[in-house]
Amino acid sequence: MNLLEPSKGTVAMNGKKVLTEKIGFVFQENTLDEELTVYKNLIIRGKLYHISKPILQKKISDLSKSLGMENFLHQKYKVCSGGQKRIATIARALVMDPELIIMDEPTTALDIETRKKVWDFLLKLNKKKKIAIFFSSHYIEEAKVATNLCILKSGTIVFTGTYQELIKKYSKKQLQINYQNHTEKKEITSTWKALNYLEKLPWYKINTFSLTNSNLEDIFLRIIHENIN
Amino acid sequence: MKTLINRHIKLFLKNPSNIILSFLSSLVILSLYFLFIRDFTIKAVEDYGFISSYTSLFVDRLMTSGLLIVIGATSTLSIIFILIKDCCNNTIKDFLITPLSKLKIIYSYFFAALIISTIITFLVYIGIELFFHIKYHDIASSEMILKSISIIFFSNIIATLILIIIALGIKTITSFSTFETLYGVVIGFFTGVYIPIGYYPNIIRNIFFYFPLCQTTSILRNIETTSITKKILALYPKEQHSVLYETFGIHLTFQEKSVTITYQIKMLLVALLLLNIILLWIIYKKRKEGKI
Repeated sequence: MNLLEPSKGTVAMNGKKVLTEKIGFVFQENTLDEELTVYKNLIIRGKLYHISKPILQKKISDLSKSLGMENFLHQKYKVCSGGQKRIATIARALVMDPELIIMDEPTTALDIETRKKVWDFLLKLNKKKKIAIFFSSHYIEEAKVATNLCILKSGTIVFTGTYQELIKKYSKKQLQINYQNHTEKKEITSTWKALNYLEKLPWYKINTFSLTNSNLEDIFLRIIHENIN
Repeated sequence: MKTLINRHIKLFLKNPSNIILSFLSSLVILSLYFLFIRDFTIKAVEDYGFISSYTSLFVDRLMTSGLLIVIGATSTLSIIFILIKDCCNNTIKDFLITPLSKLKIIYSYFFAALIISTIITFLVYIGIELFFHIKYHDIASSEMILKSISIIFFSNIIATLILIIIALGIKTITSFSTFETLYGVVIGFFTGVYIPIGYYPNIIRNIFFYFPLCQTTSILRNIETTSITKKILALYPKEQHSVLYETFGIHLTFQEKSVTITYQIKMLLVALLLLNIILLWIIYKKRKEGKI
């Protein structure tokens, strides 16, 4: 990516050397020029990839429609909202038709609706145009959209695999019993065992109970803690 | 690289205070000269015994040449500020991931700064020539204009290179702002604009001799005052001529010997080469460290 000098080796994708101009990058921070409009920013960045102005104009117009940028395309970048700035940064990464997009926490500062819109767009790109997306995120629920996951703890990989593998390996059923005075939480391996356990309890003392699967946050914390231990 | 140069210039022009301040600072320097330094320098020339009707024209030409070098050196600061801001805000990363080489990215700031400083200096130069025409009916010959413009341009190249090298060592916007303030003041002394260079102690003169802008100031002064000094010195014996040339920085001395223009130009070419080597080395080193 030209950001760091390689110590050794090469980077290949599908057996071919990855060309810088075919990699889109979304930085964690906003890197566009505050004083220029979003449109001008995209034109400048596009020209750095030697794309002619008419092609760029067409490309920006398409991106603007798919990412919903029409209302702020000709606005100065500095007056855009946090969400609009992120969308503009994602558009910048897509301006030169990349084969791979690397995104560092791409949806940080986006509201839920915009985040969904961005992901819908990116997944459509991934499926229709076969663009590979490599992203890091602190939103664990975003892991659901990934075909391959990698969980890092202090720079060390603590899990690699698919979302299904993650669930299969770490998800546990949790039985929560709300008594009149307190709540009991118990990890349980199957519904049958949960029913057996409930049968033995003094039912007149139980207000409610529920049996749920661990959510992604629980799984993530379990992996991290397991690794510490 | 052309796109990036355009981008830097566009950002410079987007901020009207950049343009206003560039011309305002030139105006302030010129006003300060007329208010505080002019009479003192005229008196200094006369104290050396060179009394002539051309003295004030000589002093004005002498000082405006120095000021042109200072204006050329300081007018690049706005573009260099964009470089610092881009590094601090990580905008430069956005350029680094493009197919453009790091060298081209850094040199794009150099060329943008050079274009801006050249335009500003030339506009001030036109203003100064108009002043000489109106006040003294003194018209510069086409040869003098061509020589002056060439040395101003060369001086701007060197000043921009020096600033880029310094800027690459500055890490924060606040540090650069402090540097800007100091630079504006110090450069005037280094080039002998505020105080004639002949008034400095020998040791200081020998140190400043190695500062390239001191050389360009001296060459420009030589070009700008040649015709007037001939008229002033016509009445005085040859052995007295060197006093005027050396005290007022038209000829520079090193180890108490006057150096020729050819020698100065050779020195400047070496400086240009060295500055480029230093810049390339800094870019290479920063690339290795992953800083740019």
